Amino acid sequence: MDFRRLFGRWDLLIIAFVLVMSAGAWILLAPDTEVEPTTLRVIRLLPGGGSEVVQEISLPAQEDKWLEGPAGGMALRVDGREATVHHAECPRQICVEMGYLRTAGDRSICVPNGLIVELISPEESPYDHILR
Amino acid sequence: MNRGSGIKSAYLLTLATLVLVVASVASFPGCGPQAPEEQTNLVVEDALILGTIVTIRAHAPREPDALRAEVRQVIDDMDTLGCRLSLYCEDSETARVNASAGESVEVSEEFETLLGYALEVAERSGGAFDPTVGPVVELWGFYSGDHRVPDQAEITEALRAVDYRRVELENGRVRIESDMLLDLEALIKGYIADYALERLRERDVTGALVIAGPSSIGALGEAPGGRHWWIGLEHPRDPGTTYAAVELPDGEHISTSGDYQRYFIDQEGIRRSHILDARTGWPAEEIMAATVLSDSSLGADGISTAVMPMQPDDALRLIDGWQGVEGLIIDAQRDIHATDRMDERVEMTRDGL
Repeated sequence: MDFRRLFGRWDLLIIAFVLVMSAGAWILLAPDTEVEPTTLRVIRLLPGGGSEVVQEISLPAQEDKWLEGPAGGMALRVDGREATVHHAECPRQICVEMGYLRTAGDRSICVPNGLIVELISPEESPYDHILR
Repeated sequence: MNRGSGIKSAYLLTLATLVLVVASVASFPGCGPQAPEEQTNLVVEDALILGTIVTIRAHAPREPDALRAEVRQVIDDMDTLGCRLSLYCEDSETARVNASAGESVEVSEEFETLLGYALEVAERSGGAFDPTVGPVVELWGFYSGDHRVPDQAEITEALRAVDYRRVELENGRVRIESDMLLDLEALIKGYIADYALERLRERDVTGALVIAGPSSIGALGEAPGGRHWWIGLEHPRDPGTTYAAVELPDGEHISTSGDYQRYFIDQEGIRRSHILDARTGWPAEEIMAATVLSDSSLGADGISTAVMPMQPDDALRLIDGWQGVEGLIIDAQRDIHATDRMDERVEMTRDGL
């Protein structure tokens, strides 16, 4: 099929315009698969039930924190919009193995210390929960 | 073809493109027509129960403080029930059965249900899962945290006390033999999660997720906004990233067991998972992760644990034969195996593992 005979110059311009508009609409309206966190929050679980927020850090930030807990505590590093527990004085080291928290909704939990580190954002996270 | 028909074709193409654009935009969440919904408030409550974090995310058309108080009550009830059953509490029913090994002990209806299910999972898994595997778990140091690789003679000796078929459960009474140790921890968190979801349903909560430990989730109703709950599955070797996601509708439960959750690396550099094959006394090593969807958290937890020591094909066959259960297995070579329906439901979020 000879497309140059089928479509005139104006026809091609109209098609190109519609395609560009479509691409623009897609880029503007498609949901993000990852949401950037704006705050890092540390929660301590209380022995008798309930919890309290012990630390809130606005992101981006560059900070090293030592968080005390019944099992000895843990070392938290905040690096821009990411955070990681890079050392913990608890036997199972699950919070260390969690690696970097990057997306809003990511959580690192140290059970013996009763501490939860989580990234939050006013935007909606892509997941309601991440199953380990 | 003359010029008039060329223009007609171009405009038809343009029209079709516009229809596609409108259809695409309408398919984005929040852009299409929606039924009016009742405004709900979401609360998230965490608690330390049986040595793990339990989280409840719940939303309902009530004041946040009132909803939070209700959720806290449910969490307290979970804690009470869990403590009645679990080895974590000194005077639990499991502790009582173990302390009275060799004698028949009266137990509650809840304990009878839990143990009955554990024995069913043991039977259907051909003994790969066994609620009496405790002496071998102890040998590997998974209770104390002092991990070590025992020699085969020690394992063989410990295995003499492992046999679910020697557990007697009848008319509300349980008896284990004097050398045995009962351990239902793999199932208790799922059991109390089911209990919590029942309590939340009775309280007319619009939707809730009960997350018992990092690897078990039960869903009630819908997520805020009227959509299904959306669960990411973490990559077994790249913590903090997901490899797939799945929708969790009302009444469905999902659980993952993996060799990355509790393990140690021995002196030869071999990863030793805390999930043991109760037939051999050695850690599971053919499967890296097993994710199971079921109509209860008890089922999802129990079956995902039970299949871990199996060969991937046997694991998938067991899951496939269980009514209402779907599963996805990542084997040690990082190949993915899934039941047909699971394959249709899971959305991969990255290429390969």
